[in-house]
Amino acid sequence: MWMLERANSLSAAPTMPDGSRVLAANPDSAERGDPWRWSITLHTSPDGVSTSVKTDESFVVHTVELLDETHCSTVLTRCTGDVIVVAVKTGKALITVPDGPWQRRIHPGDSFVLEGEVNETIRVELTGTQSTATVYCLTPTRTAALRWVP
Amino acid sequence: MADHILNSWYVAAWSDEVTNKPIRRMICEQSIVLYRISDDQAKALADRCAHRAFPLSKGRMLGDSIECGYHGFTYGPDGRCTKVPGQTTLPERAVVRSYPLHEKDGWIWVWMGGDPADADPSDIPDTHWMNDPNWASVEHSLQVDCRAELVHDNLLDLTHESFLHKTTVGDDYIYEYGITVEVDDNVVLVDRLMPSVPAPPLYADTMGIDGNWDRFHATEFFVPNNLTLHSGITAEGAPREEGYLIKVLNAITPIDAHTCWYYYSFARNFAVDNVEATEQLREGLGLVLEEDKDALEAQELGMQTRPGREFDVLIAQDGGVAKARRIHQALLKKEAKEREAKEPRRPGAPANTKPIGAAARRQAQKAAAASAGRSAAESTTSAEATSTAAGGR
Repeated sequence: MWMLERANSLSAAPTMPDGSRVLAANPDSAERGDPWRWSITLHTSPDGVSTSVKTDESFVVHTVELLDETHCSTVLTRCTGDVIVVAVKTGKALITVPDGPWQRRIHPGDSFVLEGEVNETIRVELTGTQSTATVYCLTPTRTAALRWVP
Repeated sequence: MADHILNSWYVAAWSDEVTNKPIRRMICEQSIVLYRISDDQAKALADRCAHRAFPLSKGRMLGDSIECGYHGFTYGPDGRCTKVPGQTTLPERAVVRSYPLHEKDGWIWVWMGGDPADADPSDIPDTHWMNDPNWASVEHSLQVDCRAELVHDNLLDLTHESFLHKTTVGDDYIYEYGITVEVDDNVVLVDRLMPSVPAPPLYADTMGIDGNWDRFHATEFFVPNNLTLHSGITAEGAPREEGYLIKVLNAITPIDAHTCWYYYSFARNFAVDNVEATEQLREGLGLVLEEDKDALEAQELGMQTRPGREFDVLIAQDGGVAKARRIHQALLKKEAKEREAKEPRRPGAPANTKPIGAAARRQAQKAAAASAGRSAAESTTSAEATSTAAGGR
């Protein structure tokens, strides 16, 4: 299962005065009543664009993979219960599945979240010049699956 | 009055419901009269005579004008009063609101926003399937005693088909397949592919098929009120456009905070000339909608009696529901902000001015109490007691 939220979505988190914007988080509203466990933020400043991840490590651990000119594509297999978040910092990226008909291009400010209880494989490829992206893989420490509800 | 998103086109009626006999519709807690004038154009005015608020829908048509059935004030299609019985001068304020209206593919759409300049018919979603000779459609409409948002949720999370619609469009397998969700501007798309499954009973009969097929549902929600369900069945592995295709148009029009109109059109690109299939679908889909209505009305009661500290427990399948709710809230907030910027401050509303009268006295008392070392709370209580006593005389 995946969700792609475009940067212009009316449900996207607003950009803060410092240029940062939460791209994806779980849970991301107080009414859910759960403790905050992870969030991924896009930062825009005169120095450029960056992303950061914040996790409550007692619930979630994470790995980070950077895509740039030297490493411009990757095949990601999301293991059962993990969540993968792809964020483009500059340029654009193409996301495809090896056995599926669909493909999606994503741009800075878009967020692509892949989650579920069965394994899934996607390919992420940078397609523009000077494109860069970050791939976060989040793994639960206490439960079998980190199900994501926006 | 509940919060409604007003800057939007809402379906007010089927085209054939609107004639030269005025009818009344309540939309977002605004009463509207709909009628046609001599060139067949449909018109929408506030259903309230400027004179004494009598419903114009209880009046009669005089040419292209509508005459109030109480004291005979008469209004032209633009809402301006054209005649007051017994006098020749027309009061300047004798005008009723005229709503922008657009008629398309069998539906009458009314713009509920305050500024008619914002009413752009190109914002109305595509509904051509209702009026396309290559498609056959079945229509229903019903009033549902639940808030409009529950119908939105119902259509965004179709796993309910496995439980609520077992004999018609449901199958146990639906909830076993995950969804993809895409959010762009005010549109949420929830897509579910169910590869290699049997067709649901109602469709299998109409299509005359058996065996396994790839089935799909894709609900496209144009927040706040229109949901198009792109659904169908294709041969395994075949592109969707080659399959038996269904377009279900759902226009959800709030009446008030706890009631809505549900306008429904089910269009298909198969068995287009098959009258028997059309009747079978009309009956089967009517049953589906009654099942939905029963469930939604029961859910509305559950919502109304639920303690304020309890919230829906959303799961991964509710990704689209969660996003649509956010967009709904964002639109409400945007409109509230716009209203605030346009409207003059209401009497009694907090103002960015120096306090006067009792408020000024209370503030002065507080300041004095604070400087004398007394607690502000004591001072406030004392001031309020004084004020209450004064008001009681």
